[in-house]
Amino acid sequence: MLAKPIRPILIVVLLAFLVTMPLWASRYAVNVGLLVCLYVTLASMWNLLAGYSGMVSLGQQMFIGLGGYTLAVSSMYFGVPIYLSVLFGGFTSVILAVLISMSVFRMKGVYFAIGTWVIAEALGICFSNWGYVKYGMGMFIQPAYKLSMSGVYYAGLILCVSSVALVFLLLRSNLGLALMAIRDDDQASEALGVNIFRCKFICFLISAFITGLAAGVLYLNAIFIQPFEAFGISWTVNLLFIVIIGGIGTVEGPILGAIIFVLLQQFLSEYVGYNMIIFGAITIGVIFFAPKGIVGTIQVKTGWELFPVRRQ
Amino acid sequence: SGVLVGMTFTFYPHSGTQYLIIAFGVVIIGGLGSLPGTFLGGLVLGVSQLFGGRILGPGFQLLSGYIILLIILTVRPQGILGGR
Repeated sequence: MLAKPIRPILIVVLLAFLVTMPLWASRYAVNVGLLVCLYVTLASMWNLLAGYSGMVSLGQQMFIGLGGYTLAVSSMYFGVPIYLSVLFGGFTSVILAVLISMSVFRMKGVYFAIGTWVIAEALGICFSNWGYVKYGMGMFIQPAYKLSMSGVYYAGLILCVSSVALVFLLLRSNLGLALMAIRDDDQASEALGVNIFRCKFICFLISAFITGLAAGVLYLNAIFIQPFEAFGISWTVNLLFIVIIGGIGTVEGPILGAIIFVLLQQFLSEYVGYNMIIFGAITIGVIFFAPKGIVGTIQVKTGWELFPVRRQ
Repeated sequence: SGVLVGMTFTFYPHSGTQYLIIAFGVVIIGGLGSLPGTFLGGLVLGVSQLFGGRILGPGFQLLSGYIILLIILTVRPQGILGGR
């Protein structure tokens, strides 16, 4: 096959490109890079749940909304330093995940998907009726005005690299082996002694935490949060697009999918109605012709993976 | 039924998701694969929305429907009249 050192060299080159971007790229390009990093993080976490643990969650936006609102409330009302508020967003997302896990893990398959979606919608309605967070008018996150673009970009980049590394290391560990066993046949794996609830629970908590952190950095960039947009289904729709095009169940799939998605979104932002049609058409086309996504098809055809997680 | 909805409520291009959730809720409460269940589910969802709106306030009408749906999903996922 290919020479051994090509993977680390590729990764180092990519990292060098990303780390030095604020030095040579325009502010707009750095903003696009930040969006790519955040969507890679969100999609990797969604992929961890759906592609590797078999839990197709349509409710990841509850952690996005909660993380964003925690950032807004703790930095504006309690004066917490802004990056610590991002961390608090992750913590409240984990608390929410623990609170709902009892009821949500009793649901299987399509019921799990709809249950998580309904919880996210219910949280959206709760926040829009709550005077403390200014009802549906939304909140401006004023302490974020004075942050520099490169500061937020580096926060997003650190989050993206560590979440991809986390997924990669997780999948190569014993937990990853258990997850793939559960994904393939959960009754057989339970018969072999895999504690299904514990594995799924840990993945759910990890994805909740990192999604909350990513939401914090997202709203550091966007500076304005509104309940129905923060808890809306469009987050999951975009993540679905990213993961389907990139390749579900692969580590590089969300990366490629996020790059394609953000670039397409920027190019098509002038044609307001047509961009959704084009996204839908591309997704349907990929489902018909390459159901494993771009990265999945490359893996099947050539057997080459940037982040190999198979056991040899 | 879409025409009837259009005659009764206001609608706009994004209102499809709202009705999708209502449809999911009705079918899940009543039970997948059971037609009298759907009727019962619609009844339960509508009445719970109205009661919730009366008790908690007008903004919480949809929320009370969602809470009933979540309770049914947790306690009896196959719905009230669902089989299997």
